[in-house]
Amino acid sequence: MSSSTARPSADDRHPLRILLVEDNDAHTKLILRAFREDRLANPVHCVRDGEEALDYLYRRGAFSDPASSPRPDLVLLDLKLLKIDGTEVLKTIKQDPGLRAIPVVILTSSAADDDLRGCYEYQANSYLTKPVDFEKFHKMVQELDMYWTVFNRPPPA
Amino acid sequence: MTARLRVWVGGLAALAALAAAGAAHAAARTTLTAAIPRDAPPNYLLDDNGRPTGFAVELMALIARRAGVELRYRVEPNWGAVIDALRRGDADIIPDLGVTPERLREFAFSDPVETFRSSVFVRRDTHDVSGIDDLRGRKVAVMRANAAEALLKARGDVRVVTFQDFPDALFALLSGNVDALVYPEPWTWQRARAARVGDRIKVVGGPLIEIKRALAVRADDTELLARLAPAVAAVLASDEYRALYVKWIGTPEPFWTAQRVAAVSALILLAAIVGMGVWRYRTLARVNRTLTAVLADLERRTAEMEGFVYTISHDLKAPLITVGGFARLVEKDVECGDIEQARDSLAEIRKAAHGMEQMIEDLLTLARTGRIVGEAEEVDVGALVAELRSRCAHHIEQEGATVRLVGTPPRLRVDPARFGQVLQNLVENALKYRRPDVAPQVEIGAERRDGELRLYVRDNGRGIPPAYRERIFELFQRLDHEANGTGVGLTIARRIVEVHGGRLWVESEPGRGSTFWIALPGSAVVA
Repeated sequence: MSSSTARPSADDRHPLRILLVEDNDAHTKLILRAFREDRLANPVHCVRDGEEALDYLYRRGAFSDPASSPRPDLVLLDLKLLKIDGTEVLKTIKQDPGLRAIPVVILTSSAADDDLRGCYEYQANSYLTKPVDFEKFHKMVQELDMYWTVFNRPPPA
Repeated sequence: MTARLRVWVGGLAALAALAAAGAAHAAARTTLTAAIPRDAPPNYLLDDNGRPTGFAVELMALIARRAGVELRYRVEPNWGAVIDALRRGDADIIPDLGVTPERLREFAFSDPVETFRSSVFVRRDTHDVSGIDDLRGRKVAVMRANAAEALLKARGDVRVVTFQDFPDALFALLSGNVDALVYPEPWTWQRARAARVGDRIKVVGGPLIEIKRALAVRADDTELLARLAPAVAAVLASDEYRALYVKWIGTPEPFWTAQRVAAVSALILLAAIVGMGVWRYRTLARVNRTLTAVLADLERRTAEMEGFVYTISHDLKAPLITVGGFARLVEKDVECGDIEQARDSLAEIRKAAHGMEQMIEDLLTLARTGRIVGEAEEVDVGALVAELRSRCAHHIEQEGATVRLVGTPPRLRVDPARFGQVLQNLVENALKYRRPDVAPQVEIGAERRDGELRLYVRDNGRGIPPAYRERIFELFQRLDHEANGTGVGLTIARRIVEVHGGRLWVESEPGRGSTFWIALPGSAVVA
């Protein structure tokens, strides 16, 4: 019935819920603008540091209500975060049987070998570096959405 | 009967007298007196105790032992006196005397015990004399009573100068008072070398005469000569004679034989090799120790530098991404005519640029801190705190805070400006991470513990969870989004303390406050 919508493969799915973990407010703004440019209506939850990210995922404190803090379908994770590092957050997610199915995409300004190696070791699903050129940034966000929403088949609920 | 008895007794007496006379004669001849010169080495000389020794003396001792006679020596000052003593009958024998035709007239000689050749000695730099024939009319030294004296006088073509003592003759030659000296070679060499002038003389021409030497007795004392002859023959044939000859007359074996030279060379070489080895080992060990230390230091610095570069590249890239992104968005905003949005984007660009400038300034401050620390001066912590209070008066007042000194402030030996900056960074941190509902109270004091001075800056702020207590000292690390600054203050503070040889760390009770400790070595503290 809803198979006639613009998104043929996503007919039986809700739009991809994204948890954006980003400590740089300007970058958050940029990423959100990129989503908006493409008129992507994904619900994006933004948290600003590693501690908040884990609180959200474990529904602690301000994030205890599942209605306002639903389980994300994708985590966009910056590495350099206040309090708890992105790498620590990744490690925690991937070591938790209840969370490890959530794809984690690293989105960072660092292209250092050590960071790449570490992230793949802790089973990051993808590693993206933030481009300085907004067009590229835009295209990356667009394709990110396309890939995870349209082509990728998520684990069964 | 009586007459027969008398004859018998008389006969006995005569026999006894005869026997006594024979015994007396034999007793007189078992001790011989030998006349010898005091100083004619190597044949005659006196040892350290004044007893006669030398080739002739030792040889005579061997002969006397074989012949079963005792010897007594009569030491005379020179050869003339020796020969006179024998002539007069004061001595029975001369153990070793040159056999010459003149002497044969008054003395009898045994078989020869040695043969000397007498040669012509001249000064080493004399070049116009190559034999005795070149000495016609010139002065030639001889020793008195020496065979050469008679020989040269008989020739008549040289001016013979006779000396009593050999050193006089030798130095007459060296000084140029005579042009040549004729004397037995081994004696001359031995005594010239002993006088350390052996290299100043030389032999020219062939030997002048060859003189056999033998035991001499008076010509009429053939009985004694006959008694001694078998002993002389036996001694001459013995190994003892050869040993004696080599000992006194043979060329002394040079100490530095080829074997010895080789052995000593080998030893020196070995010692040199061992020495070099030890030196090399020690040097290498020392160089290695230095290198290891330098390497460790270099590795630490490299790690620090890598961390630094990583942080910079990451943290400086962030505002660049913001600038690049929003610059493009401004264009879009302008295209859409959304001036509000464009203004917002420009504000982001400005903020990013400002942030970047701040970071670069902080980095420069940090880099300078590592390199440059001013002269250490004696400074009172009380004065530093007073200065800090006035500098941050506005901030302190704004936060409604109190900053107070506890106890007697210690005196330090530090760079006052830098150290003031440490205290200021710590106090500003205390104000920044205050609890919203509690007026900040900052206490600065000092304790002595474990032999070091520990300054503290204690606050009643929100405290720091254990997981962050080291991280807060890292570059561009902050605990709070809302807090101002790039997160370099504690990094700089720790660097300054470390440059002073100290340590900076934090103890904290979350929700109650934090205490930053500065431990300083004795060198930075005024006792």
